[in-house]
Order: sequence, then C-alpha cells, then structure tokens
Amino acid sequence: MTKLLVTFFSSHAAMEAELLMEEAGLPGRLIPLPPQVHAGCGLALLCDPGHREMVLSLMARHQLAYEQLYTGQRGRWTPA
Amino acid sequence: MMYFDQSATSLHKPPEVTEAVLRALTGGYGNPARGAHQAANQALKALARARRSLAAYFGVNPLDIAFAANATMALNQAIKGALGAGDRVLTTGLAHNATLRPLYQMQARGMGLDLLPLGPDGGYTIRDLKQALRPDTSALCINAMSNVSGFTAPLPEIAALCVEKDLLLILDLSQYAGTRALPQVPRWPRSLMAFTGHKSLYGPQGVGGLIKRGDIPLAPLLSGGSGVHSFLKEQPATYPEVCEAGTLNLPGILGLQAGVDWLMQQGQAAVSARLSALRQQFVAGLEQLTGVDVYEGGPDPGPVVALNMRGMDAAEVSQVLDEDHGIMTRAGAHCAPLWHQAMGTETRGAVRFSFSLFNTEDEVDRALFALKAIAGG
Repeated sequence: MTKLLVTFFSSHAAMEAELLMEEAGLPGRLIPLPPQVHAGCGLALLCDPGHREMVLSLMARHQLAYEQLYTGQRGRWTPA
Repeated sequence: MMYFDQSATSLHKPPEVTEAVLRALTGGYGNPARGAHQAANQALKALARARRSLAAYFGVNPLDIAFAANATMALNQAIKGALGAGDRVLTTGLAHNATLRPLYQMQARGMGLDLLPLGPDGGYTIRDLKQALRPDTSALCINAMSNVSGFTAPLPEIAALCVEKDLLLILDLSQYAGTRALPQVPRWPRSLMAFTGHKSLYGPQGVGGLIKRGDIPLAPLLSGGSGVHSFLKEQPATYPEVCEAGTLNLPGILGLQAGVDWLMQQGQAAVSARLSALRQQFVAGLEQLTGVDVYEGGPDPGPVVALNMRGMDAAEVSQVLDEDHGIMTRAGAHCAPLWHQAMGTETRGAVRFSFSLFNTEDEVDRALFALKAIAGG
C-alpha cells in the first residue's frame, strides 16, 4: 500500500510533527529513516498520502520545516 | 530547619517532580531519538512534551529550546557558539561567573569585551547601558536577575535597545526563571537565553537549557552522537541538535517539566506576588534592626536579599544562623566578583537570603528574630 514519507532535518522536529498529527486526529507514526532515502540514522514520519495537504498545512501552521516528501512503500521510495 | 538558599537550589520540590523522575526511571523509557522502537519513541515523545511545557512557560516555540546540563553549560554554549573574534560584547557588574568566565575566555581569543561598572547602589539604568555601547558593540550579555542583590534588569528597555541597534542579546535567566514571566514586548530581539531547572523552576539538579530566538548561527560547544546524519563529520547544524550532543538527562528533564507544569498551575503572577511579599516582609523587618547593612536590589528586586552585620564576617553570621538557629543561608562571594568589588565586600562577602514558595511568613519572622539576637538586640 502506497504511503507518504516525510523526512526532517531533526528527529525532534519529526516527533513534533507526530504530536501535531496525533492532536489533529490524523494517523501517522515515526519509523527509522529508510537507507534508500538517507544514509545514516534518524526518523521519518509515515502517513497516508491522502492526508498530504492536511499534513503540510499543519506543519506550515506550526512553522515546522520538513526536508523532503517521498511516496512509495518499504524499500521503494521516490521523491514526491 | 529553615531554608533560605533558593538562589543556590530549591530544597523543597513539589511531589510531582519526584514522581516524574521516578516514572522516567521505571516507565520503560529508552534513549530519545536513538532508534525508532517503542521505548525510544516513548522517550522522544516525552522529551517533546517536556519541550512543549517549557515553551508554553517561556512563550516560545518548542524547537527553540535546547536542553543542557545547567545554565552554565547553556551560557558557555551561547557565548562560545555565537560570538567570535569579530564581536564586541557589553556586560555589567552584575554578571555571574557563569557568564564572566566564558566571556574572559573569548576575550583571550580576540573578542572585544566591555564591562559596565555598577553605581553606588549596586545597579545600573538603561541610560547607563546605552552610554556604555560602542559603535562596534555587537552583543549584550545581561544577568536578568542578580543572584546576590536581586537587582532585576530592565528587560523591556533592553529588548528594545537590542532591536534598535540590532544587537544579539544573551540573557542569564538562572535566578529570573520561575520568579516572574518574561516581559511582553512588541518585538523580541535575536537572543539566546540560558535557564537552569533546579532553582525557581523546581526541577532536579543537572538540567537546564538554552532558548534561541531568531536566526543565530551557533557553533556547537560539544560534538558527538545526535541520532541523525551519522556520516557527517561535524555536529548537525540544526537546532536543537547542534546543542544536544550525547544522551540527554531524561529523568532530569521530565522532573523539570513537572516543576514547570506545577509552577504554571500556581500561576506566575501569584508566584511573583508571593515571593515579592516575602521579600518585602523581610526587608521591612531588617529596617527595624540596628547593625545590619542591607544592599540595595534596585527598583524592582527579585526574591533575594544580601546583607552584612557590622563587625562580623558574612561567613560567621551564616554559620551562627545555621548552627544556633537552624537557618540556612549562603555566605561568601556568590560567584559575582564585580558586584563585590563595587560594594567593597571582596573580603568579608555578604550573607544572602533567597526565598521560595515553600517559605512562610513565620519563617521570615524567625529569621528576623535570629538576626536581632546576633546583632545583640
């Protein structure tokens, strides 16, 4: 099933995004940053691609910067 | 025993603080941002909520806050991370060594440093500060509240001055945080504000932080694990990661969060009024005593009073208070060398009384009675 993956410059920003989504009633969770997306470690936010505009609007409203958006599924991510 | 040394650390903590520390140690918390398993995420979420509590208290965004071991570490991070040889900094005679020593270190590396001397009343005015500025001054380092006399900096005017002159403001909130709210001003300048958790925010020792407002490039004080960008050779530049190398003190941070939440439940205005009333009661009582010199705390002092008794060293007075009356105070130089030089108390020091929400009017009366007995009256 296709998902939307949001990467951040900071793990703390990723968690802040997850908390905002939780409070907004939007499903989403943090996963380890997939190596296809970024070598190293870190966290990314996995969410429903249908909620893309709501997620982006929520983050913009709270001045929360993200790094990149991807769509795909485990092992296969392409920039959105 | 009566404790009047809140400016050193708060002895009495709300029970919620103890419970939060215990929960952090027993509640299945992993290492925040180190992995994405349940325990690590639970810790990261708890950390994010702690940042939110502090952000709500200080009126900033959660990601404006970086945690540190204490205000000293945060001040070192601010001064050594934001300033360089091209800067010229103005500080005042009320600065604590947590600010002065890093400034002196930076001065030895080529940074310009100017000191605004204190007036005979142990304070300064915004006019004094303006007159001490040089054309090349790039930053102000200000102690928001003196840890010796309680003198409170005129923060709204200082903020306006920094905005007007585009100066970086580095604020030491060690004594200020928890005793009163940051002022509401039309525009807050680019600033780095250091706080500690264990004084009037009622958290445990070993935790503090740095608040960054505005675009201020920071070099890291420490480098190490960050949980992100493992192949970078340097500390990630993103805030707060740039200031948070290594594993954070999660039990301390969650304890601090509980302290701040408790403080907000009391209401900052009520807290400030209560502390002010205790100080006023004490100072009014001191005015009735002979042989006691009280050092001025300026027009708007915090809950701190410095005094000396004629014919006695501060250490002797503090010892008699402790041993004969069960009253704990601080004597000595209080890590504020310039204040003591201005007041002529380098050798004898000063006795400091500082108040918390857990002090009572009865304790203040008993302290006054003890001082009267020591004075021989």
